[in-house]
Amino acid sequence: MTKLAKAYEEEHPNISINLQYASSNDYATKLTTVLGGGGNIDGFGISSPPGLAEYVDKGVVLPLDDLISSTGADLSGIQGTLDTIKIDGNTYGLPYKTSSWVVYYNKDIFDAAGVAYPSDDWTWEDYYELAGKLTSGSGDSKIYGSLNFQPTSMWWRVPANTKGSTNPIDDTQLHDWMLAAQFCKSMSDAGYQPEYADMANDAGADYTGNFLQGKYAMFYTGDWEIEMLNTAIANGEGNVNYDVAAIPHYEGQPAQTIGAPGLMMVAKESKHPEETFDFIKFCTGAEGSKILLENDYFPAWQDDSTKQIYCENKTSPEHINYIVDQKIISQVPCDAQYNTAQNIVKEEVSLYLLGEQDLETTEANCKKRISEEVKK
Amino acid sequence: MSEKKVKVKAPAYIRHQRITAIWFLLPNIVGFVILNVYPLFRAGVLSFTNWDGFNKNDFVGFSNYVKLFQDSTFLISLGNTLLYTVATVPLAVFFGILMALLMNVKFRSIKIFRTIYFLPQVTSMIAIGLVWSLILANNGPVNQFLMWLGVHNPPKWISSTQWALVSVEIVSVWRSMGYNAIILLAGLQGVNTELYEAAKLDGANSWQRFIHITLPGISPTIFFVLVTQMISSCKVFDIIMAMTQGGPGRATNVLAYFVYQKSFTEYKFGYACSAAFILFGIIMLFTLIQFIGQKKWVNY
Repeated sequence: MTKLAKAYEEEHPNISINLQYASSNDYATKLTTVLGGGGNIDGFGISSPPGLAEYVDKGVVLPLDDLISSTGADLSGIQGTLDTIKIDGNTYGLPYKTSSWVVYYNKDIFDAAGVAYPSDDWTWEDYYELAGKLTSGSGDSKIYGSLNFQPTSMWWRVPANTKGSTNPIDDTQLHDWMLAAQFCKSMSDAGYQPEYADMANDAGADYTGNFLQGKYAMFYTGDWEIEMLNTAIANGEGNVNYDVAAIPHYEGQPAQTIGAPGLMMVAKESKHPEETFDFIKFCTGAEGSKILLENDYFPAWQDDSTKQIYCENKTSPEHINYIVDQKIISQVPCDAQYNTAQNIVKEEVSLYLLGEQDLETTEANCKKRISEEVKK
Repeated sequence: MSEKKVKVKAPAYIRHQRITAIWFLLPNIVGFVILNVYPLFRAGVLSFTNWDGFNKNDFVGFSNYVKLFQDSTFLISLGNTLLYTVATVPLAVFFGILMALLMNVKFRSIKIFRTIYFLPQVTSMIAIGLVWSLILANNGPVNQFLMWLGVHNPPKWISSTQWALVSVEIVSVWRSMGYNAIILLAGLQGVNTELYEAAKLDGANSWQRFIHITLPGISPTIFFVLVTQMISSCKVFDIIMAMTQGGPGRATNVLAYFVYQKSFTEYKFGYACSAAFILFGIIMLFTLIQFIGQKKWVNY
């Protein structure tokens, strides 16, 4: 962000940008204090669409539609993400960075099992089958075919996300989440991945370390994992011969991946809305995206040249192009109530994954609690 | 003969000293009012509003309180808080007394043991949570020991709703008993040794000496430990955050965690304030009961 501001200031000598930082733990608190206290702030960033919806709900975000049309802003590179984060048809924030999920796999385990590497067009059923073929051994030498959950996160829901089901407040989408939970449990039950209950401590959450040690053949997560794996391998913390593949999709559904966009907004009380918007446009546009790329951020702006820059000089993993070649949709909805609802589902589904509650009860409880605690 | 009450003005030098004392106390009083009394008062006012940290700030009367008692998560967290308090307070105090008695002996390296027992109190809760999660893991040392003993289905500790609260309680008792023991030890060392000698001469055995001299002697300390332990048990938060985040499901959701969730993840500050006030009320009530009850058993 410092470099973005510097580059912008160099082009616009009459503007000076005063950046304020806060650690991610304090960020919401600090922002709440500044905005709520009528502090002097022109624009701010947020790491997720539900956050945008919350601040829009609170009436502190300036709608950007007028500024977009009056300045004739070029938004072609971020249009895809932009379409999924409108609120009541209005644009309140522009995405500057995002992420892109892929499947990471250990080539050696595939070779040892004599299984072909995944193709770019495959389904969750294929994933399940492959996980079965790749599982072997027992005890300390056990190799699991897959890992698709972490006890403290909502990772298990990702298959539903790839179908566009991101919001559990909607009953149909909630049902897709339940199917994703069932998918996760079926892999544990079949022994293709560890039991949920066995991972209920922090040591179980170190999926990168375990992948490096060759304990899992496949798992899926965002583009940031490449950096983590490559750094760890360079530091000698493990050696794994890995590659990435496109994220699977459900039968009959389009192949697309998910990402969590980070957004920039103009504060409603801003004294310089035009200038602030111009800066945001710069950061989220083609020029800003290059600066972001140079600093190992994954920009939301995607065009042929950013794709090329992203893949340039990167030899590992071999198919890194999947990161930029897949269509990216937002993993989270623009709904201020999302966090509350998500937490309810997390609590209830953890009981299902632990085997303490069946799927029907879980879905019924989620619906009941969402209607009681969220929809009012 | 009736006593005559006469108002005597304090001598000038005492009055002067009082004024000096007030000046010395003033920084503390100001800090207390700004940092404790005012926030408490504000929270009380907020508990009757729907404040979301921003614009919404309407007076909603008692509706937050009414809503709380229809909120299943609140009721579960209230129940868990009570269960947790009822389990941890007696155990932490009992083991505290036991440890204090063990530490109240004179041999050279006893100070090392006192330090060791006190260590959990000065260790970061995050570290404690991590280590205990490993100890209580499904195939961790505790369960391996249980299996070695012949238990076929050892409990799934923090990954089952049945045992999660118990696990947290065990860690909590382990953590606080050392602190309680140090305070009780100070009480033990204040008991007049002449009393023991006299009792020995009268033929009292060690159990009788414990019941009739030691316990009454340290009863003010026990009372202090009981009250502070009760308050900290009601307010339990850090250990939940570090070990279970209220889970699995809502099995270890406690009031303080509920307040945290409602305020800092859902931004329902008004609602959270009313839950915090109910917690405050419960602690006040328990403390009052203890203060009334102490007249019967505490010897000053």
